[in-house]
Amino acid sequence: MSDKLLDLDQLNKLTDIFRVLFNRPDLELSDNLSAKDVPGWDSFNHVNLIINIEEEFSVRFSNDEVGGMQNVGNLKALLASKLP
Amino acid sequence: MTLFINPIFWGIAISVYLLLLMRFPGRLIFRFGLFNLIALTILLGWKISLGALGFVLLTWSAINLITSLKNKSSSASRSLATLGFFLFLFFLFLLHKFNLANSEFSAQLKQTAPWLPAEILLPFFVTLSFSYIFVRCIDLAHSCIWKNAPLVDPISLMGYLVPFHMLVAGPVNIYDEHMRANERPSSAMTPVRVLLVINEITTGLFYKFVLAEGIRIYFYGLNGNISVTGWFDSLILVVYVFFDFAGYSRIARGLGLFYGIPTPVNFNAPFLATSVTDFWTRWHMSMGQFVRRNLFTPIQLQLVRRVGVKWAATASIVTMAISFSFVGLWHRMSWTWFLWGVAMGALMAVEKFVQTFLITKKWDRSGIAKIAIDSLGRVYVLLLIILSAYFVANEVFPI
Repeated sequence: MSDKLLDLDQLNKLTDIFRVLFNRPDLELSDNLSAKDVPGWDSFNHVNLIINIEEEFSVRFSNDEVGGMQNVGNLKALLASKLP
Repeated sequence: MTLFINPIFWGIAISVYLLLLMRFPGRLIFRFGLFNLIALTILLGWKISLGALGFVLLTWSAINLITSLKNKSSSASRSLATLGFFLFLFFLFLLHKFNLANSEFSAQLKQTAPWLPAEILLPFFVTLSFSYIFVRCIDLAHSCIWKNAPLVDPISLMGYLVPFHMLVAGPVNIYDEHMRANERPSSAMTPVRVLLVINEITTGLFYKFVLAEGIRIYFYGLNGNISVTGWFDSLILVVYVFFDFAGYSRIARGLGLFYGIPTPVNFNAPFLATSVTDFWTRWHMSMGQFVRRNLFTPIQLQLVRRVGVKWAATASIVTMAISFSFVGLWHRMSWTWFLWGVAMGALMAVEKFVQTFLITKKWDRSGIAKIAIDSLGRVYVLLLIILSAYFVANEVFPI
């Protein structure tokens, strides 16, 4: 994975996806945030989250990338590595 | 489970640890694989060990062939070889299940296929829990074929696929994690590790031989079996299976910690679950994680990509039904277990709608509403598990 970071606009888009999907308008995306911290972030919604991100950013994740994400930090780094 | 009251088993378990401490050449997983083979031979006899070794060699050869085709041939030949491997694996799984279900199967097989080395194959399938070896093979194939993980030598692979301390009922260990055992520092015991090992093994023995067997003997007599004729029997069965299975899993985990061989946690207070979905993340956790990794996530991703996020909820019902019907058939090839799996999958999909409703109403946050919902959830889960135990114990829809 590269050392690239998401810019502010990308980070805002990602935050919006989380807030709408998990119905948490005040949710802040810290790197350590994981499924256990967000009610409703289970295996069902994890896939929905990924598909939403894929559609918003026009990227594609592999099955293993989807299964291997441990927290938001992982997700942000992986997403940044896929963006041009 | 009588394995754990056999002094020979414990003698072998300690000997394997002492042998691992010695500075033999080779990495930890190779040395464990080698001593594991010796342990299996002493415990179960040469026929079963030979059957297991033959199976591991076949699996190793097949995976080796498929991964070597990756760079040399067209994708069609690799796909064909992969399909052939999975068909072979599935055939052996069916053989194992039919053998368990039908006591005449062995004699029938000898008549139908006299060329088959049934004396070697059948004891291997009966004595070892092939259902677990089957799911480990799938995890191995997933890692090596699709994730490009390196394939270990056949002896090390024996330690992953047929570990003697996970003989009876798993858990389902992960190939990638087994490989990582080599990266860890020495297997020398620290005081904390000694305490962890002792805690896991003694708690496991207490669960199995005091709680599970105590409950069985109290209600059904010294030599009695639990026969489910009413709801109370079903409750006893659920409690018995928990202490039996969780006890076994903790002993296996304790031995895994003893050797430095990854052996996953399998239970996490399942009766505190507030939904069936929550229950399956706490009961037989290693199997749940296997299903999520190898079935649910890949199928759900493909389905939702095809039909769009708008239909994600419908897709999840289909995916859960497929994933849990696999779990049902993995337990037993019968209509009852298949329908049990479909029902569990459908129920979890329904729970998803309820959960979304609760989140929308903000009833899932702290407060009286959350306490009430969680308490009701625990009662609902317990009742449902008792009902499902009654359903499968009586084989409501026999083949």
